[in-house]
Amino acid sequence: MKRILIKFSIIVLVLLTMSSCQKWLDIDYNPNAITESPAIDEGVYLSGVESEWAQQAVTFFVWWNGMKDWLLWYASDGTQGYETRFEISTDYGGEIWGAYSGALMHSNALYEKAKENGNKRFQGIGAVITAWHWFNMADYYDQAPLDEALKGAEFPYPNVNSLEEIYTHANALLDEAVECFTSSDPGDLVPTAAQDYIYGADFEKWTRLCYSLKARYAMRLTYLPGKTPAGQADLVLQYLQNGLQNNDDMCSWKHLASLQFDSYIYEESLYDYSAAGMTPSLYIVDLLNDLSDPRRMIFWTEAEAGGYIGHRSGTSSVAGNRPSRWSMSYCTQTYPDMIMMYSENLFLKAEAHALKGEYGPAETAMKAGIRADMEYHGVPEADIITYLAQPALTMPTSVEAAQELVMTQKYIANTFETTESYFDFIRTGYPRLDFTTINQVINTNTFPRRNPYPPDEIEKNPSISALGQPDYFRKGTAWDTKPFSWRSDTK
Amino acid sequence: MSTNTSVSQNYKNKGGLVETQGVFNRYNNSSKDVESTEMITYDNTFGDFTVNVMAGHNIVQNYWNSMEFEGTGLVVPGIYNSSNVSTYTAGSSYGMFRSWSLFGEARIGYKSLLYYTVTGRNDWASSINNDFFYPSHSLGFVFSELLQNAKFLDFGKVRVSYAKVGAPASAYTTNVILSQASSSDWLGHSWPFNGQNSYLPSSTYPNPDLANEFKSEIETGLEMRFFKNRLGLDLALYHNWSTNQILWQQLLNSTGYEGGWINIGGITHKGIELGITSTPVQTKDFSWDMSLTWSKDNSMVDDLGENDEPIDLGSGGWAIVGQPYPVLYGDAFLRDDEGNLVLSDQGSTGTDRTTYGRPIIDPRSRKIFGKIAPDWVSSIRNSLRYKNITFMAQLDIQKGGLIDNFDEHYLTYYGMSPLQENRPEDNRIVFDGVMGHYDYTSQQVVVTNPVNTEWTYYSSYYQTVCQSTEEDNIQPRDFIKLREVALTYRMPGKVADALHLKGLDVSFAGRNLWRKFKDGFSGSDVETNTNGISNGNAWFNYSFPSLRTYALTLNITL
Repeated sequence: MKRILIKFSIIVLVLLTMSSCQKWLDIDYNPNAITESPAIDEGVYLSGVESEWAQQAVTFFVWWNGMKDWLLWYASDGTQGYETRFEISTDYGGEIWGAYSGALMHSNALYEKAKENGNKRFQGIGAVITAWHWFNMADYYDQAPLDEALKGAEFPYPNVNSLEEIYTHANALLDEAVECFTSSDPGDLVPTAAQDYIYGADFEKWTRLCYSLKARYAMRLTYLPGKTPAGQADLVLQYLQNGLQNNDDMCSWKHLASLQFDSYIYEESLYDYSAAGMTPSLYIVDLLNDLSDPRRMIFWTEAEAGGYIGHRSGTSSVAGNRPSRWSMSYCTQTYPDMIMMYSENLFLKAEAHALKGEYGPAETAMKAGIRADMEYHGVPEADIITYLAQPALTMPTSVEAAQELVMTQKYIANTFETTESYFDFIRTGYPRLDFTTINQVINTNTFPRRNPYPPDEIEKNPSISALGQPDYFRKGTAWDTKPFSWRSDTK
Repeated sequence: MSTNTSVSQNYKNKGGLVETQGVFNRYNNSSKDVESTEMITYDNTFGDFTVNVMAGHNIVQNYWNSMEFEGTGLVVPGIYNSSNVSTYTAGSSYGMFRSWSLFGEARIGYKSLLYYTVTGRNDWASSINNDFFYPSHSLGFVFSELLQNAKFLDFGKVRVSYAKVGAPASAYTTNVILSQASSSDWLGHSWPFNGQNSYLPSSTYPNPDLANEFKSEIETGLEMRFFKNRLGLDLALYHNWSTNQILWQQLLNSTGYEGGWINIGGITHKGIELGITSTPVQTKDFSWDMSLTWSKDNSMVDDLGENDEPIDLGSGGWAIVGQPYPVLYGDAFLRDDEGNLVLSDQGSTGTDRTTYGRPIIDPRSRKIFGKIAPDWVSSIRNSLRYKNITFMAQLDIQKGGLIDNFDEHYLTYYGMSPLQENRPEDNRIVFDGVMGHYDYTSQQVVVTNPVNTEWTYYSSYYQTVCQSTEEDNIQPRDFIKLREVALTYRMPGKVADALHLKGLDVSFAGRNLWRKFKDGFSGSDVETNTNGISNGNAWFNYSFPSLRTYALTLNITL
């Protein structure tokens, strides 16, 4: 009996030793999924983070059909049978807030990972993209979670921070990015050109982009209480000295014709309009007609009756009198997702000078901006010279009129490019968009000046419930304070 | 050790009505479970006391593997194999879970009268970082030992027990999973892009602190047998509660995640289980055995973590604090204070009307439609034996509970539901209710006409607002089913003896031969949940009903 007991105890002891070894239990790594491991380095993240950034930058032109209609770059043709009105409800613009668990979370993950590993170049790119997302969040939502955001169940109901706090954080990220890009010790891992699809691992361009973004967002605060237009203009001019230098510096995601997936603008033209092209609005066509803009023949086809004729949104075009269309040779497969144009830098410079009452330099910068945009679109030199020589482009000598001229030309150059035209209009009131030419939205006669908070955040997050749903049709974010009398119902 | 392998093949020839090009699918599933338990026991008697002590060790390893091949477009009709398809998708997955435990038990008995048992167990599992201990105690009192003179009583026992059971998370729950970067055909982003692929953290919150869940139970029971065991009673009352339950919590986007597995749940069940067995007639050639079971369970969700958010359990079910577990919950029609349906007084009143006269979705919040679990379930089984022939029939009954019949959701959209057989010729319907709307400014339901006489388009109702709420598709899940009927013939002893067998039975049985659902259920079977057994368990969509089966069985006892 004693022997049996001893033998049994030995067997038990062996089994215990075998199974109680922690290593025996260390098997919980899903073999059917890609899980976080040393093999997943920053290079695996990077191109996805850049792609999601680009998607986020153009998303609202596509999914929020109202935006391009409202900005009058486009007018729905009633004959195509599409919904010509758009409803602005409390879940409107949820794609932007969705970046918290998507594009923003991912760029932040890249930034954090690279920072932990000491890989400065990756850290810099992560910081730039994360900064852009934070600026975007603040510009659309004003107060939004920052300090307690992105921390999962640790803060299930994150407190909000003010717009200024978010801006400060984002600007600090841009400063940190500059240090990372210029550091003599880049760390063990540096992005390859293939991984950094946007700038091909050109960190001088990344550095210039940092300064240009600082300029863009400094200008955004022109009318923020506590700031002055002249003070912000000085900052803008200071940052732009190190900003983008030419069209080659533009920040965009380039679609490749050789690949299966084309630009959103091509897809929309192709499928929604059977490659007949989208219809430009009366407003933008008339605006370009006024100065015989040479970009018309690049942007649009001629109307059936000849010349360039826009369309009133929602009405049906009539055979024999069909309006111009957005040209399919312009809305191509390779049309880029634009994040920042070089011309925007020159218009920022022009506005900054105008705000300081420096009208000569303002005109020079504005015309440089127009030239940069026309060169980008391939306008012949002679046409550029003719266009720029027009008296209408002489800078007026009052801040308001100068600002209007600069913003109008900036709007033209930014057509179907970035969301800056939306923020510029909310901030300055220019250009004088003619809303009588669009079909009105279902539930209001204007467009939101900011985004409503998503319903689930209003319902569940006490810090956002306390703020309540803002009157988003009448009041934008903290920087939206400039009165502009010509359109009283927007304030 | 146990192994399981299943191979299923599904093929359809070219030219069919549904799969015109033909399909060939093949699925291989296998699992291999290894478990080893070692125990040392010690038994002894000390006067009137008996002592049984046991200590043990257990290890478990579960391995599973699946492969699937789905091919479409048969090249040559009538040949079903993987090389005869135009296009195919194939995939495989496998996984493993391990755990080990130390456990012990001590049983002390006093004369055949009183028994006390205490157990303890500690588990370590591969899927979580912590180990966990859980004990149990039970006390049994065989009071019939003190009533030896009560002739009618053969056995009587009361018992009371407390038990705690722990369970780890499923394998890989705490893994930080990466997923391919966001793609959108419309936006022109897809992966791999230009030869470059990219993986990013998923929107599932990786919870490294996830711990095991516990379930505790206090049970008291009475077991009695009378009249030479011809009448038996088994009654149990229980109260159990779970803590730290692992549930999927939806997170706000601002947390950086869409949800994650978190220890947040606390659910209580209180119930009663009754079992009665009897033999009303027993003679040499004939006997009639009858048994009845009846049980009722009342559940309550006590805790769902911070702020007690409702949790979507999948399959239509939700966990909501203060409600039974689980409940159906969703968008509902707007009603006035008296419960009347509010029909929209907004929009065009002409023949181009859309919303006018139509029910409205309540914009304020979702509504709890009711509990999914039944009020009670019961089973009655009768067995009649005459000489070597036995006839058995079992009836199952379920009372109460709700199901979301999503088939109805689609069928009504396309006008194919039996509920729509008497549709109006002019496609117009006047709903019972009041005319009104919800006023967002005053946040009140405004009734503008207490009697509705306004029509709305019948088809439009089913294709718009009806599709936005589950309310029209919530149906009762009561049933009575003739679960099984069997006729068995036991071969005479001499036949079995001749074959050197202890017994030889032949039986013919049918299952699910008859059923009756409550009026209002329009699907094929209330017992079917589309997603199989799940926490939600209330989703009926594209599901096959329980099959009626017949079986001829030869039962050999060696």
